[in-house]
Amino acid sequence: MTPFEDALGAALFRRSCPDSLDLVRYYDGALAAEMAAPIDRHLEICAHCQDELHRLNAARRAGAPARPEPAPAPGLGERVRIWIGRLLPPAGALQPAMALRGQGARTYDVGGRRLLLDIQPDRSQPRQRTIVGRLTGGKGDPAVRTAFLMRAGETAGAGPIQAGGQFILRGVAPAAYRLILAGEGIELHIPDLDLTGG
Amino acid sequence: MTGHTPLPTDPDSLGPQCCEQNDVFRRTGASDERFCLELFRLALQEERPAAWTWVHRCHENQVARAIRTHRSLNGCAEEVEDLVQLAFTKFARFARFQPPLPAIVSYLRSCADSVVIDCARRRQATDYALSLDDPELNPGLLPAAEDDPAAAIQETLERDALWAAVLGFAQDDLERLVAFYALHQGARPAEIQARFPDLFTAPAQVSQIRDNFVRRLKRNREILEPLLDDGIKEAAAYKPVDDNGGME
Repeated sequence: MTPFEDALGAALFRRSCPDSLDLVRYYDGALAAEMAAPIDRHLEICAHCQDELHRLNAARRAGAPARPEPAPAPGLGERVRIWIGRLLPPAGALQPAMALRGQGARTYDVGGRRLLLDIQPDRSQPRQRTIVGRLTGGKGDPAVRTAFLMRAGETAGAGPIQAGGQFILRGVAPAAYRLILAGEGIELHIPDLDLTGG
Repeated sequence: MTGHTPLPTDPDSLGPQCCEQNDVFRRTGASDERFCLELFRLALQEERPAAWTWVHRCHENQVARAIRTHRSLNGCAEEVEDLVQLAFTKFARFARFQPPLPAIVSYLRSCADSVVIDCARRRQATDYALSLDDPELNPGLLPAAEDDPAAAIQETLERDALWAAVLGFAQDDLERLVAFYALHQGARPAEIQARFPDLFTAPAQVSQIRDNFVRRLKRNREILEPLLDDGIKEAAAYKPVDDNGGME
């Protein structure tokens, strides 16, 4: 390698990756759509940023110190692909897909799938909520098996996702959560699920 | 909530109350947020040094915990204490006072996470730079699956002047793809071939495309060098004298 090649190689390596703070705010769902869209696109092709999101997610979910283990470059099979959901504007054609009895139905686009969430009062605990969810689309994509409700890095609730994509989380306190639908090698995130209203 | 407690106006009175309410929140999940909120306002809006001192003191443990929890910390050379300082520095530089309190604390947490990522990136960049002369050390990652890599590459790189110029020398999508995965991702030819077996029959084919492309870049160094960062430009401009006394 010549100095020019070395310099060029060093300059080009990860040069277009988003700023780390932008990436974290993207994970938190705190970026405006026009800032999030280029990161969406970048994540489609950048394994480094995917890996950083995966590690960030692991830390946020565990809420405990990382084990002092070496951090090898992950192989393709070890990597978890993370999709961040975007709330869609109310659309009459989408909402009736579920029986909506509660305070609010929300539809998200997450990794090309549609996630319908209906937030209902919990019958046995009036101050708490029940989340009824249904994931559709994504034919051929890896299945998601478990729904996790995260708050401040801790698991606040979890439930299985049925083969048809339905899941129910009961007894949920009114607060802001991150909803994660997880399967092998894939996670679908709704970072800003606010259940404080209504 | 203890919403009826009068709100002090100076940082040294607010600070202890804020720290105490943070403890209350950790124990009960609820607290009187007014003290910390006002403290953040004095720090971020009025830039009062005493308010910053208390913001640091009251939230230092949270930030340190977030840093220790981060999975990328293992790839990081800096001490946790130094990263905590960097997180507060970043927060002071970029945060704006935007209530409610959880949003501000969330931003601080984001800063803590991002300094760990920055640290791991620095280490990764150093490892990559060291590996350039030794392919066996190359820390490249296999790329993830995507539907239309050439389009995604073009779209994600065209905003950067240097990459836009580099890709301008590519003759086709194959060269663009190899340039991205070899030079942006740091992937080895064998990894690229394994990821795209329909496009490349052997790693040697990838190597040839990469080498041809790099040679073309080298021939056009006068165009690229002005786009390099200053420090890198200096290194690139260095011309070693070969054994015969001539320039490379």
